[in-house]
Amino acid sequence: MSDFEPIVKIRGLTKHFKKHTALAGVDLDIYPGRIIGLLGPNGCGKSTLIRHIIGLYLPSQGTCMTFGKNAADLGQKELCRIGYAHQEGQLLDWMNVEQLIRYVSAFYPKWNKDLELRYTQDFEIRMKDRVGSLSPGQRQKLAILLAIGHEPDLLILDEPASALDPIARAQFLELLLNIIQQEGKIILIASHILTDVEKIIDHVIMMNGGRIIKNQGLDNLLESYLHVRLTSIGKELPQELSFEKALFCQKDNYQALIVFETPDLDSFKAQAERLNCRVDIHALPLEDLYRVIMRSQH
Amino acid sequence: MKFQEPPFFNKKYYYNIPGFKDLMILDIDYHSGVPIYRQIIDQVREQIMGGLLKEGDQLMPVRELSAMLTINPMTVSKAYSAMEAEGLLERRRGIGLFIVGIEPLRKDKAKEAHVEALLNKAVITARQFGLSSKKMQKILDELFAKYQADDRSLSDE
Amino acid sequence: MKGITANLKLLYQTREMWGWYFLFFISILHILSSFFTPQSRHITDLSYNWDLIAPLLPLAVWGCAMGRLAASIWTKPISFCMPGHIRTSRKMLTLMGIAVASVTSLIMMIFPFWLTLKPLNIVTLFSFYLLIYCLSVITSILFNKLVFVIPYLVLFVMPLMNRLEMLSLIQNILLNDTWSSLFVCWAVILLIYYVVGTKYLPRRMCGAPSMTFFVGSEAPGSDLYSTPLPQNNPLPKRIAGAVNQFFLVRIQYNKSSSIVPHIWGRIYVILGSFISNWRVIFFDGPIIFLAAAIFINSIRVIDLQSFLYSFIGLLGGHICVMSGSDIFLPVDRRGRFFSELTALMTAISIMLIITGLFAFLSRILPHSVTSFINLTWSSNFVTLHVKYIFITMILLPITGGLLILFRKKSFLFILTVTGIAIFLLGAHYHMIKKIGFAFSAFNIPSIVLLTALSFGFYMAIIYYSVIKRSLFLRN
Repeated sequence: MSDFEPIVKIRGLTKHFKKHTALAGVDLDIYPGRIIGLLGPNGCGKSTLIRHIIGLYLPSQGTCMTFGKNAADLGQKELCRIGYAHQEGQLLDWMNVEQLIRYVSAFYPKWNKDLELRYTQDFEIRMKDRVGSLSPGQRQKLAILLAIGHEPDLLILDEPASALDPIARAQFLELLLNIIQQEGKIILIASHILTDVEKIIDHVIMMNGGRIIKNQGLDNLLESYLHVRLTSIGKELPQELSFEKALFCQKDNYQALIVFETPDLDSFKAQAERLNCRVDIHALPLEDLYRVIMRSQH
Repeated sequence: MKFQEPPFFNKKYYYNIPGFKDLMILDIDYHSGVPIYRQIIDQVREQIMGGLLKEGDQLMPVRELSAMLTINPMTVSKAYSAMEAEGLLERRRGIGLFIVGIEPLRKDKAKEAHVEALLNKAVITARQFGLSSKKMQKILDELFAKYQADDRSLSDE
Repeated sequence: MKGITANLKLLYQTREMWGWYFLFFISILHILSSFFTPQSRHITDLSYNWDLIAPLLPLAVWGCAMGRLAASIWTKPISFCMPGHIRTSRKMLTLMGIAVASVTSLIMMIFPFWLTLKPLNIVTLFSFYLLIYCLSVITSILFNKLVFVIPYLVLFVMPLMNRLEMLSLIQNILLNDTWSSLFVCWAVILLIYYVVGTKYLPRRMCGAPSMTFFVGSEAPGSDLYSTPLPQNNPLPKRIAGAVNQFFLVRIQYNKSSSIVPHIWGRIYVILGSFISNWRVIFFDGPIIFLAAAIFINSIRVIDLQSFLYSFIGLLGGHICVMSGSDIFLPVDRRGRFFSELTALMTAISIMLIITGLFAFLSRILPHSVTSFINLTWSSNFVTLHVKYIFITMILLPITGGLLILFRKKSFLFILTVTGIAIFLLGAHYHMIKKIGFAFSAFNIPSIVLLTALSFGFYMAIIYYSVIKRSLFLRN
């Protein structure tokens, strides 16, 4: 980590939309040099949070500071350091691809032409195609290019790969990795495709119901959940069986499947020995972990 | 073994180009739930113990390895730092990271511990199935006879 | 019956149908207004009467509308897999046809319009109305690609109708040669009924582009199988290139400023969407305008000048909110404020140019054309006086401001409100004059004051929405 000063500082952020509360008191610091996965079910407030960070929405309560300034008052200079791409975005349909890229790049002080060239070649985006006639996948690729071309310090991608086929997704991830070679930048990806995202992110923020429920490093998070299978070697397992810090437990006469959150492994293993059981410990993949956490919220 | 394809953009990982002998093969399961850095550490350790990586071998630089595995370079960095702290690697300034010579006693202890962990499961299963200790021993001996580590080939029956 | 109920729902849920209803409404208005100004028609001479044929136009419009409904179902490949889609559509069409023909015949029975009718005549009339309906249905289905011509045709046909002696001839035949007319009508009706029931039409239409009524593109993703009307015709490359260069250079040169590039950018984007639709603007636009002028002229309850200028003002307000894109550009709130202001200025400039053009055109229209337009029975052709442009100048910012305030409301809502506003403003101009509001006095100071007020209103709105409120993209 190069800096210790967070680039985004959010305190007590609350947002009401008429009767619906999209965000309920969010506190968050985002430090530079991270790739963050913003996960959560539909309607949990991911997009709302993102829009506060880039200064579109005004909070009902609380503050949101980006680059040290109030997000709503971001000036030209700060905005040039931000890149944002989202999937429902409308592009200017009447232009062709080349015109659109030239138009957007005209506003930015720097634009990486090599990246643009390589990107359009590798992703097979033809310059002379009209934007209105592009397929949704190509449109998404173009939106991403417009967001990354000016090498932003804060890159926010809202569902960037949802319309891409598996090959395009792999290419996109590689491209992202090429971008993050530089220090001090932040990439924030809100995505449902966890299998892609977990390869490159190092930090996870999980949201539900307008609140942040997890804000941890990815490795930390993966290591704190365990999936354990308990198999009795001898007799039947007792009917009443409880474990400390167990989130879920499925059992029949001889076996039990348990999901733990940061358990005390030693005491658990001792318990298993007393019961004369075999213990198989597995890690929980991110997708399962995500479901486990979401379910335990209810 | 999980199918792991080389990256799209960087073609040099398709072939072991002569002169580029520092290709490190790691079999990472991205979706297993085991943190990637931990898998790197475990596999490097296993390769050291198995003699695939010898003392003085240079590890792939962070950028190269992360590009090859298509993962975040910070993950590789984390793995390397952890191994460095453990004493498996040493950093030679300006050049790179190198495998450190580990004293045979420590190495042997680590090997034993690793094999014991693997055998643990086998023993428990044998117990569950009701196999006797003698039976287990017989199986072990047979298996031992089959594989000989010296020339890394199956012996003729 | 379920199929029919589902189809009935389409009647009020689809945006396109509301366009057809509007046209239907206009044609009915036209017919009604003609009945209220009978002095120019030869009612005394019954042999020239064609009152009974008058509903021809609304019936045709209704037939086209229903035909479009069936076509929109049949162009979607998925409907091909639905059981009974042909039968259900035909049932629906028949139902609508019988309904509208019955209603019209009923009206003719109650108000025979200076004619004595025998019971058998009603039957003949019913058959004739049904025939018109069926012919319209089949035409609008067969000429799928040309459907956007229909609204113009309708608007043009209206004033021509009372010049067509053929119409009174048809009426005479219907009333006198009952049996032969009945035979002809029902032969054609049954033929059409049979054809609609076969697979021929759905097969022909499956996967064909579904043409929409509105001149413009539908909301994204609303109709996967429809292609928008021919628009987005790129300009010749050299002109397009020069235009691009002009704007891009200015944007790039000023990119350090937070305001100037966005001013140029906004003009570029608005002009771009206009120019890329140039065929629509320069061909469809004037046609609509002219047709509207003819129609309004024939209605006689509305003052033409105020109508047209309000029309332009209200339509121009929409330019202030178009050119939407969700690309995240580095524009801070101040820049957005000036960008919105630029949108207003651009909209006004465009509208001024268009109005000037039409006023000029209306002045130099040759005599033959004006006499053609004088076919409407009671009025003279009115040339546009540019001095009434103040109406546009006042209305445009207000419309733009309201559209920005209510940006979340649906397109249909906005269209309805705009339409009502146009009619009210056009219709009550005289009344307003009589009541004696300031601007009706036509003196310069009051006009200037009102213009300044409406501009101030717009600026207040954009200040509020850009600086004080949460933003959605669309820059």
